[in-house]
Amino acid sequence: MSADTEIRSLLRPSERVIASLRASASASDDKSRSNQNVNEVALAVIAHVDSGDRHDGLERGSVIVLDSVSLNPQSVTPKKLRIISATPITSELTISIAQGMTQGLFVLTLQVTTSSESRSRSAHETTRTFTTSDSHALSEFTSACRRFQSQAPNEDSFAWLASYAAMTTATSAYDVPPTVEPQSRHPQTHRTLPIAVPVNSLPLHECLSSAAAGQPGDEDKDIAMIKEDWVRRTLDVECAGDKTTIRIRIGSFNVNGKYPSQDLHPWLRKPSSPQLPNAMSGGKETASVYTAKIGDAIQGEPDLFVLGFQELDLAPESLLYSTSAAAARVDAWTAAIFAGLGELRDEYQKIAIHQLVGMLIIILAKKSIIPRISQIRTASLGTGLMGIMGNKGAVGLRLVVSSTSLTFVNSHLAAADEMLARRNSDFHDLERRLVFPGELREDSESHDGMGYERSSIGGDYDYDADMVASGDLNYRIDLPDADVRALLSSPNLHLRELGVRDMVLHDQLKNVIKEGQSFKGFLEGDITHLPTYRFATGLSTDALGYDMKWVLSRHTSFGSSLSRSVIRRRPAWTDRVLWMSRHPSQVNILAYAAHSEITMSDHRPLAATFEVKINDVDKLKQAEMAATLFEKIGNIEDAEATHKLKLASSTIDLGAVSFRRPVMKQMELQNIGKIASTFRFVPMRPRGPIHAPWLSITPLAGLILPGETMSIIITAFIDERTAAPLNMNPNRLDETLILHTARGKDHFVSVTGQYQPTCFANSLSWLVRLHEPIRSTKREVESHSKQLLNAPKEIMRLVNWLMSHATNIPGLFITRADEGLVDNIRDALDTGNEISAEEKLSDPHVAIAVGETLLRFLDSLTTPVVPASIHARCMEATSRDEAFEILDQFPEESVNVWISITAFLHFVLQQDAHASKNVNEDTDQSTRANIIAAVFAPILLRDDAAKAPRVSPLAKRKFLLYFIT
Amino acid sequence: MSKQYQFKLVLLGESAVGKSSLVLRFVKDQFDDYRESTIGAAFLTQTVNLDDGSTVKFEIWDTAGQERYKSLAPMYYRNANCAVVVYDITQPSSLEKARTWIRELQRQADPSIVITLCGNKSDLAARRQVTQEEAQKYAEEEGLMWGETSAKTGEGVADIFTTLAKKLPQTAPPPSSRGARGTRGGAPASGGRAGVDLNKSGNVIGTGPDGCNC
Ligand SMILES: Nc1nc2c(ncn2[C@@H]2O[C@H](COP(=O)(O)OP(=O)(O)OP(=O)(O)O)[C@@H](O)[C@H]2O)c(=O)[nH]1
Ligand SMILES: [Mg+2]
Repeated sequence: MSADTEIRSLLRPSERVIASLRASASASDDKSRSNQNVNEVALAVIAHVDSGDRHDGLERGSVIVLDSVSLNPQSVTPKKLRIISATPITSELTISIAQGMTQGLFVLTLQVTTSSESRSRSAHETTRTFTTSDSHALSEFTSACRRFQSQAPNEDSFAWLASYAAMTTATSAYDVPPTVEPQSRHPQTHRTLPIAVPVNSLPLHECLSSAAAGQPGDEDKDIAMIKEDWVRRTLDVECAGDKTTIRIRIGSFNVNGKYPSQDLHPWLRKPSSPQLPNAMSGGKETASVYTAKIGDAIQGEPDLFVLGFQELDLAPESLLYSTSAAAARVDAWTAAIFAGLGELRDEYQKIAIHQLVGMLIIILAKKSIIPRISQIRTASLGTGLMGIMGNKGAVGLRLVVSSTSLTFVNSHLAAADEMLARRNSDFHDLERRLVFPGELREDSESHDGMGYERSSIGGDYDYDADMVASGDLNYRIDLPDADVRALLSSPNLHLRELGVRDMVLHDQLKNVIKEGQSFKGFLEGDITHLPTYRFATGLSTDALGYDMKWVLSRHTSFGSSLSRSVIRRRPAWTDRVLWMSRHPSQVNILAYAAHSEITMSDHRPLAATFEVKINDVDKLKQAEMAATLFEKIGNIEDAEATHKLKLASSTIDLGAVSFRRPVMKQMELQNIGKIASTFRFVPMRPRGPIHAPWLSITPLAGLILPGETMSIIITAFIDERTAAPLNMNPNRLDETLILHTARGKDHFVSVTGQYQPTCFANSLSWLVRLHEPIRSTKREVESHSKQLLNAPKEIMRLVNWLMSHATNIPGLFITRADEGLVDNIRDALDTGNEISAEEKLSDPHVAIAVGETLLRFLDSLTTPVVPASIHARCMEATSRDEAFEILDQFPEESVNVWISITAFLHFVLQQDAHASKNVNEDTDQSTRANIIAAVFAPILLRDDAAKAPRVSPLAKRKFLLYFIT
Repeated sequence: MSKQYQFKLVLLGESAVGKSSLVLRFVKDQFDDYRESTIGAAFLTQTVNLDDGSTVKFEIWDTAGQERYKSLAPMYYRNANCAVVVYDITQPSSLEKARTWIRELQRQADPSIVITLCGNKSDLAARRQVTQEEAQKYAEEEGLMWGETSAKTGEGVADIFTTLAKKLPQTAPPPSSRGARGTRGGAPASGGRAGVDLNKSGNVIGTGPDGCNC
């Protein structure tokens, strides 16, 4: 009897078998089944047609798992099949396939995630893993599953499954699905580790409950977290293993359904590639200024290559079937990778691969590191069509090197400009639902939430965890198409770099990370490469090869009366590599670049090279030590215990605090009670700030054992951002910090200091009142004097200095200045001292520092020289005359500043034009002017950070150019 | 009928009038001649058993009297069910300060707050500067409870808190929230409270071991 026939014999007439598959249930850590570690099973997708009144013509699908039992072990008769579980195919079922370590073996993972409403129940996730070599049956099986899933049935359509659930034996290793019989579910037998490293790497105090003066919040939870954190930190020190550094190369490539047709060498091996196609990069480009070409310093080969692909296969059927064509593509790309490694190819081995439709992630490891690698796990999640299909989503691989856990997630998020919110929600979906099957945990019932709590108490001590999120994240640049193209199109390197810098400010991903809307806490290397999307071939491209075609947008763009508008796909940094680490200092990015030589797709491949510190800790010893530490802490939670922490002093005098010069003070906190106590700093009001923005405190929360003393470091650092309010009301710094002892006292700590005002971060209208340097004691009197200066004397001093000493300094306003020199020059402005010593007047470094000081001074003004309110008017100017007319509308104090700065720049450019005839032939005068404009325009016409409509960076440059050329 | 109540109490008053001493006497029945001035807000709890068998648990915030921390006081008296405003009978200025606190409470605190005016250091009768009549008259005018105490000898301390404990269940409406300090902290201490529905009836946070609420 064939399997199908036999399965059919177990079903009622209303159900039929759609696909079936023989597989082995993977060796599970489930103790109840330890007597039979590998279990031959059959899986089937069965369909049910509802014949009742609610008949809607739709078939419902279910995956049933059957094992074979033999009533008589001696018997040679075939074993009998028996249904051991029945799982409805809904969006809660995740199906993923990975290639096994052994060639030709596939790993099928079925995972049920119970929706959040039922989260209160103990078990909420079940993962089962099967292996099979029957790729054909497997693809039929999965495509059948996906087909049912795409119908997105609701849960109440599965009453018919109840009878099968009843058939499952009580000794079954598997759970009866919750939708069938929620109450009877066994506690889950598989633990899943969350992917949520993000949550875990948040600083401790951000994970604590919301509290304030007199409102301690959830003390139980806080104590548990602080305790846990303390144990981890102590283990880090006391149980530190050998640390080694490994090198990891992360690649991301959206291949647009193409087969490899070019050498992948640049992507795999080169630190960076020329920014432009060969034809354009002919000129002798001077060294990069704003960003050192860190990549060039790189030596040594990666220990791991982690390569993520998107759009491996664009054929619509790839969504539904795991086609043999898809397998062929995987093979082709794998081969291309090895070919691209060149002479290194024999040193590497493919150790893991995971695919979901078009998303593929492959890890190659250097043979020498393979013995240190263990626990390779896979995860995938579709967030595409219907929220489940694998045309979008992510594939992930997690592995442990020595004892450090590394997670790599290759994502492909929602496309299109206007889908920003969708991309963010895709990320949150991944953050929540992309999970790696983990080991059995004793305490499987006690942890319900994600993130910090989940991997918390009693769990393993995977404190060394790093995560890389890469892929085609599809975030765009919020600038008009024409601007993006113009900013990119300059053949001059400096100008392009400045363009890239302007564009990065408008990059959606950078902005959503900053605002915490998605990828919160992730870091990214500096973007110095050109956008990786969207390239085209043929006629409809711009000079850089970016696609120029007009297409219909999928959605209404705001302000448009058309239901769909015609748009062009603006170049964008859709492809990214982000990372996050529990120990951020242990991850170091060495290179981050796109590789423009590889032109076979509409995206360019992107690669990042990292150096990662790997820990080698004896896990057993660590676990024992953790237990000892928890014992040592004792029962802090005991409500009857009295917690007594004593502060050595309740006042901290910072002394004189100057702009950008940190002042550090220590404060001793002693536990004079009989048991361990935890503390945390709390804000005065709920959700308010814990301390002034110019202060920082480390640690903000902690645990102290009885009798021990902890030093808390208080640092004052006043920068451009925090100086402005202090400049308004200078002299005294006065702050009260609230240190809360869990279940005990709130201590107040007064932090006082003497602020040394600076001319930075003031308003022009205030500065023109000051006839004397800002630190002069006569200042109070002056603020009342009626006689205003024409322009702040600080600007005049800088401009005059530059005029007499720096009219022909190459690199002025472009080369990065020496920080120490800038500090000294700023001090000179504040105190009235000379800007530079006589003998240094001809030192170009000083000149460059004076130039940089001018730029920073202007950038620090609380209101830009040209207030945002008149930017739009400035942009209307179409000629020099019109531009000069607009000066009438400038605030009085701005006019002279504008005139003196632009006059100086004009003069410098004249000089340059004259000099360039013999010195600097490569850079023509208009390019020079453009560079200066690109440097000064965003500062003189700074955007209002709080307001949305920003003026085009190009239009600002143009306005400034009317004055300086 | 043995009900259990829980109230948030805040102590206010000029520095050195004896707020912390009063709490120490009430909670631990101790006195300390050389107490350090409070820089912060100390949290303590004490339960009072009433004649009818019910118990009242006070969650006490002892605040800092020093002028420079005045701006933080509202964080501690918000959500308080009752306030004990303390003055020193040997310091007329401390009664003035007490009046200021009372005016502030009447303006800013929960309108249902029960206020007790407390003249401390009654053992220093020889140096008395504030007469009982003056203080009592003021308290009556403002509708406050009043009493004199000596944290040093213990005289009057229990009275002040017991009177409050008796009055509060009658006057205090159900708190809008469970109070600023979650009740969780104290709950396990008294055994049988776990699992009792706190929302059922006002400040009644539980019933006796018989579990009968009626
Ligand atoms: N003789 C006498 N002295 C008292 C009494 N109560 C407090 N003291 C003393 O008065 C001083 C101040 O008492 P504290 O309890 O610290 O005063 P406080 O109101 O808490 O002061 P702050 O914390 O600064 O707001 C201490 O030296 C106490 O010993 C009392 O009833 N009689
Ligand atoms: Mg005190």
